[in-house]
Amino acid sequence: MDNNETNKMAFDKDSPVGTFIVAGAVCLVCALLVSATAVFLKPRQDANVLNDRKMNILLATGDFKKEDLNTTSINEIFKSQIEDRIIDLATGDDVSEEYWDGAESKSERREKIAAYDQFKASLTEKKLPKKVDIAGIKKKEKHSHVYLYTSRSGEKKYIFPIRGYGLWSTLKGFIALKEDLRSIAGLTYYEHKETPGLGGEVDNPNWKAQWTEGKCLCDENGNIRISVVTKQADPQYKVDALSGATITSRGVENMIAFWMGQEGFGPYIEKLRAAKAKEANKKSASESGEQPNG
Amino acid sequence: MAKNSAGELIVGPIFKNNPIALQILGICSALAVTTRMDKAVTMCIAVIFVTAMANASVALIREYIPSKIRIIVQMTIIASLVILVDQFLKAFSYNLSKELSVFVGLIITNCIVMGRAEGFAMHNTTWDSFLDGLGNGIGYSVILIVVAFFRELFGSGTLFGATILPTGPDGWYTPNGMMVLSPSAFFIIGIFIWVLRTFHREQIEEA
Repeated sequence: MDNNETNKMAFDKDSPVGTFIVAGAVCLVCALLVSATAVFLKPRQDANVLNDRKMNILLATGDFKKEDLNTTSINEIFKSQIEDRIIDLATGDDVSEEYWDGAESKSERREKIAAYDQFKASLTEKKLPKKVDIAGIKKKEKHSHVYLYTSRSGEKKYIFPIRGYGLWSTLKGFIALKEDLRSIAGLTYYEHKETPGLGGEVDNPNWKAQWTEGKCLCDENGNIRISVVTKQADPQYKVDALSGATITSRGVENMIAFWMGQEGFGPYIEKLRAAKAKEANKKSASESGEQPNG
Repeated sequence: MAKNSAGELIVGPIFKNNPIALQILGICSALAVTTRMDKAVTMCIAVIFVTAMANASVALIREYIPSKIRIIVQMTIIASLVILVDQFLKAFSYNLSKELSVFVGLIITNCIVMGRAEGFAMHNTTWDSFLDGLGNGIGYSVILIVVAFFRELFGSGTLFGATILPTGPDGWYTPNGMMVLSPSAFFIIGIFIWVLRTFHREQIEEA
């Protein structure tokens, strides 16, 4: 301090040079402080983000309450009840094996698959034509995660990652379908920058609850019918838009139409349906075949 | 001002010269983050930290701040501190930081912080400025917590998420939906100011 006091006489803070020196010094100190904190806290923040994403996958199933979940329980449920798969969006085939990367044990394979970052993968792809890109994502990855959830009672649910542009930002979230691949089990968003109180209400539990009460994604023929903003008389396909947030609501509708349609998980869902129909046929055939014998 | 005792510097802004009730500063965030106690308390801690540290740092270098760029220098310091708080929240309380969303970042533009840095810290010693920042932060917090208390209690029947007035199918309490919406904060702040001014009559402005 004493040193500073003597220097003060010689140092004119209001001269142009003095102004620059002070401004530079302040900036330097502040920048160092901010960047050091950011670097130091990054691992913890990343862990939180990952954890939050996992939690949203579980919340999308509609079987969990946010208050009951913590880091340990999330990881446990993830291990025992969630199966993480990677599928080819264009063909609908399960390509998880490509990502095993020579791993032998189940847990290693699980880790390898979880490490696949589809957003990063999408960046190296070509730009989507405007006509196709109704969700406004610009670039689409070839392979995507799909999460298979089995409840304690043995009920299966499929959770699909979706994203799309709202008003200010890309919303990232998950939509879960029940075993029939028609009924919606839930919808959650884990990342967005919409206006708090308006578009940001996509996080509102009351609004999200609408997506669980007997809403259907599509009709029996697989045509997507669910709508948020357009006029729709049938209550099983109708979700109320967010008031004051038409553009965000439209974004939600568009991203569901995109990701559940042919550009997104459509081929995969069709394959699942076909497999299910085959199984049902087989079952009924074997049942009817057995009856005369029994 | 230099004659102020440490106690007065801290206690003064709580009732006598409250930044929200008397100076009507920082109303915006007071509406947004007071729907629940945990949100309000987190916000309060953040604001107390920022006002105190910003005041202290500005006072520490007040002799060296060129008068032409003093506001920018203050802003730089305040903004850095706010980013610091935001980073810490993201690391240690991710859910709350998500719910507080932009409002932590908006502490930068909270008039209280800026007002104290320019109005007090530029002319006072580091220690006094630190105490003044602390006091003003606490003054802001008192109002936030009072508002959040009423809004959460009557809006959702809970405090810190724990049920106080049972709602739902087996409860007797019907939540007051308006309390969850922003306008209710205006009413509560208004009533607070009214009560305050019946005790501190000197705060009443002449019509």
